[in-house]
Amino acid sequence: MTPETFSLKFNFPAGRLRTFRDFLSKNLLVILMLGLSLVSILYYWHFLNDGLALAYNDARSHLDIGRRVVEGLKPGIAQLGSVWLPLTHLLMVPTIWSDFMWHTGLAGALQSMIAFVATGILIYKYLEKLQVGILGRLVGVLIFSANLNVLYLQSTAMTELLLLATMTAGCYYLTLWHDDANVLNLVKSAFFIMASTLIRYDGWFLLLIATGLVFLHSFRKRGYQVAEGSVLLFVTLGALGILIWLFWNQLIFKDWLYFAFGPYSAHTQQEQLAKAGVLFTQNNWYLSAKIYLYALLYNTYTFPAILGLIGAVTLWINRRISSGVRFSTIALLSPLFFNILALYLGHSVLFVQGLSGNTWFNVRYGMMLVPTIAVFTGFLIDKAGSFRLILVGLTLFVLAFAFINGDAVTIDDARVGSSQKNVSQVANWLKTYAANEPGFILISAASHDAIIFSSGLPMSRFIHEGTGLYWESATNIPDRWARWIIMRTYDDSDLTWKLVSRTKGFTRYNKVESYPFADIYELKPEYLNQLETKPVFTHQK
Amino acid sequence: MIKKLLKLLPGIITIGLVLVFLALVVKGQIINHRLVFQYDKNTSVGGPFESSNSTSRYALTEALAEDHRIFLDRDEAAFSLPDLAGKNGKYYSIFTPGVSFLGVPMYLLGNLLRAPQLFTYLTTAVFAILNVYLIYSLSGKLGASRIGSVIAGLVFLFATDALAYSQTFTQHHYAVSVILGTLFFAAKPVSVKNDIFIGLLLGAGLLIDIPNLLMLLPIELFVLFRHFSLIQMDDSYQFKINLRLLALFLGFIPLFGVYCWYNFQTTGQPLIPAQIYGRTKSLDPQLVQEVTISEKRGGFAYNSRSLINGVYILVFSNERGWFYYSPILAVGVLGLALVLKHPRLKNISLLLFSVILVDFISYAMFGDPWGGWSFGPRYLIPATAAACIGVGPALKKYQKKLLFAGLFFVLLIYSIYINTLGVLTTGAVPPKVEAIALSTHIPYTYQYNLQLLQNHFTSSLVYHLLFSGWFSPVIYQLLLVVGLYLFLTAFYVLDYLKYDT
Repeated sequence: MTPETFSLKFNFPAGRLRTFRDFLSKNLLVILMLGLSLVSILYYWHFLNDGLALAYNDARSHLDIGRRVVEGLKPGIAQLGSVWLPLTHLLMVPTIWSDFMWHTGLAGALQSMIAFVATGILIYKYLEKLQVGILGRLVGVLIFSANLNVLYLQSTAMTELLLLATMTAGCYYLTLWHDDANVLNLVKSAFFIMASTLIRYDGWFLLLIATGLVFLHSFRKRGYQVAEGSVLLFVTLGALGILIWLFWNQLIFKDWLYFAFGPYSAHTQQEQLAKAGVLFTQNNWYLSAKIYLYALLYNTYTFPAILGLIGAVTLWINRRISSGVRFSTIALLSPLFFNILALYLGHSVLFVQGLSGNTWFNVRYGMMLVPTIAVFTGFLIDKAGSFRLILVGLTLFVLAFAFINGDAVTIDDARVGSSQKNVSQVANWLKTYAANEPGFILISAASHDAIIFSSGLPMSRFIHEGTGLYWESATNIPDRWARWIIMRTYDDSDLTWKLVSRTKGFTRYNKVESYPFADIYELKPEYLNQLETKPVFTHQK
Repeated sequence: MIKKLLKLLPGIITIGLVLVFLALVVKGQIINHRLVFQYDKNTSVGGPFESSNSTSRYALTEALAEDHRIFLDRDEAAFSLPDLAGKNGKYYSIFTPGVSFLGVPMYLLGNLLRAPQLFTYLTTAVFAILNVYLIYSLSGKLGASRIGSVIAGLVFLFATDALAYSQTFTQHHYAVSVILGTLFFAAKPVSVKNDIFIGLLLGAGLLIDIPNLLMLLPIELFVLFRHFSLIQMDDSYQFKINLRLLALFLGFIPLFGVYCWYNFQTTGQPLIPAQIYGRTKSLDPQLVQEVTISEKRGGFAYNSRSLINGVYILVFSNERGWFYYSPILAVGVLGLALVLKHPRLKNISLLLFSVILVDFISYAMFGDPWGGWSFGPRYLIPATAAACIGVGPALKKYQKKLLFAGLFFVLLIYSIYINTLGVLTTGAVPPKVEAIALSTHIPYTYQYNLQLLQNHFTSSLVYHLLFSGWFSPVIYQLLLVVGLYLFLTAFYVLDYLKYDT
């Protein structure tokens, strides 16, 4: 039998194949968007059902901050607070009024989910700009989207995904501007970077790097005067968010730098850690770099990170791409420099199991470079020639085992250690004994936001630091205002304990329960008749 | 006839010398004119039974040869621990049975001569020599000279940890034969005969060790896709499937059937091998089933989170670093990279790179990249073989460059020195994490082997038989290193002088 006869043959009309190919090339971005949206929804649903969507203590706090803007004893924009930057909380406002959106975390996750899809699209567009073929572009998107750490954080009310989206958008438009010098792209870049400066302090560092790149590129191409003008234009919009935030701190807290050095700032928290001797990275470049790189590798499953590194070098030495575009990709590395610097300066804390401590506290910071790695890996795949299929195959191989084993350090961080806070016992007590009884609950939101969230009670039942006169009154005469007090006994870092335990009225309470994260005090029955149970300061500003 | 014999003479001499060098490192001991280890299950350090990777397989060979059993009796089970599985009061090796099956004929032959262990282990040496031939052949296919190809094969056997494992009853050399054999047939044109062999080797790979499936995957995909073609015609495309690919399945079925039969007999499920059930730590019949079930693995053997540690251990560490134990492999990788530029040959080079990378990545993801107490990166022996194929092309291109030659000889002598240390002493070097926990300090690198040698310890049977009264093990190793170095250098010089042209 000849090979001709010993084979199966299928004929496809060339026209139909061409039509299909044209359809695909025209609509690939839409298909990609739909695909990413579907993945996003499925994983949100998956993590919600697994009870993980709200596992991060911080996720519950973010949702509470958003909720306090629209509901509580003193609702309003001032509830945005001082420590965390305000954009994610502001974006929750249109939906957080709904109890469903608040308690499922969807009000916060929704923006993360949209940001997830947007970042995927941006990676695709970025690679397109770098003249990467379809396979490289899709692999880039895959590296980003087929990552359980990314998929988990896009399902929660955390800030990472929105930060990634805005930073990637800022970098993308910055690269466009480096290529075509179109001022509109510079403005768009400044806008997105400005947005990122209102999400996390990582954005501030990106603004610094991007400003440097804008200056150097303009100076090299068109001299000092144009460089000065470009920087002014860029910074005017790019730094607007920072300026507003400084004003905000001055306006509300009477200190321009309250966010940086106030009692709830990261700096103050890190000082406490330093006193406890667990801020290992402070003043240690080697350990700072090592710990951050480990976090990065754990978040990206190592192999893509190695490919990304090779891809970056490949890109930077590729002379077919304009030097300006190559130069602009340095902005993508901003999170790397920022995080190492923050660890070195002691402004940030990150634990990697086996290297420092036995937890994964804040290991999610390593995820900030996933889009960067996706872009560089996509580029490498495009330039890998004969190795292309091998590298794609190995990447799929590693990702497949990551999914089979459910490898997500961010979930471990959320479930175990300092980032999680299982407050279900206190919350259940409140649900059982306080939900249907009149009276306010005095609590420090800075210490126990997770309890407020998990109790399922309306925000208006709680007197906390942001409730103005209620807080001032209740911490002076608790027995007049608070039927229950939730606080950590003998712990002066819990503001409620610090203020209330020194008052006369505190003797009128019984400690009714004691739990790992807080104790519950209840006003003795004989004093209930003097208790205020309705809001009275309805016009306070 | 004489002319033909003369033509074969260099090859015969080469094989003869290879056998002599291998004989010099055979493990064994003579006590009171009696060959130890043949009927006594002595698991002392440095002996052929020092590791359960060998004993568990040997126990099955013994059971098959002596009583036609696949279940182990109590003594054999105890001998196999901890690489033992059990169910319903019956014990069996945790490994797939391929290596044990292959050892049976030599066991029977050895039994006649009162040396079953020695002969069974010779099976591995035979496969090691087959691997030298396969490397020689594939290196030649990549354009290397005949002598350069021989050097490539000899580098694999004498300058890598493949030497230490040629004296064990483990899967490594068998796996290399399967992988290189598959590549050997894949490099030939598509034919029913070749497809059957490729299928057969896939089945053999499965019987020898399950991870072989992963390492064979790139080659199998390459072979599979060669049966598909897309042809552009005037107004249409034709997609063609060559039905000869059925021969692949035809070749695969017999040994896959054996694999399923063995699993069915042991675990009760044709597709579930013993590894899935995990180890049995107790020989108490009451506990066998309980322990087995409680030890059932929750996750998969490969985990992406282990990659960081795995890559470090297998690439950079002094515990099991690939280049740390055999820096000569850098020459092989260079040679494979050179072949990539050759349009007609680059597919083979790409497949070899695939084998190397899959081996690296899969075992870097493995929870135990060290391979337990072992010598060198034993899991990387297939990658090592693939890299050695590149030595030939590298020599062809650079052997006359002085800098290259200098570097080559330095790397060669270092690699031979390190790996003879392993084969002459012990293949059971602890990982750092275990070494530092020991009450008696043991180095976790080849320093341990060196320490043993300096303490007048060697596992070489020939040394104990002939040279122990003449000189120390250190001198013995020195002579062996010099001998091997001169052996390989002679080939280098011959190649330099273009002997085979």
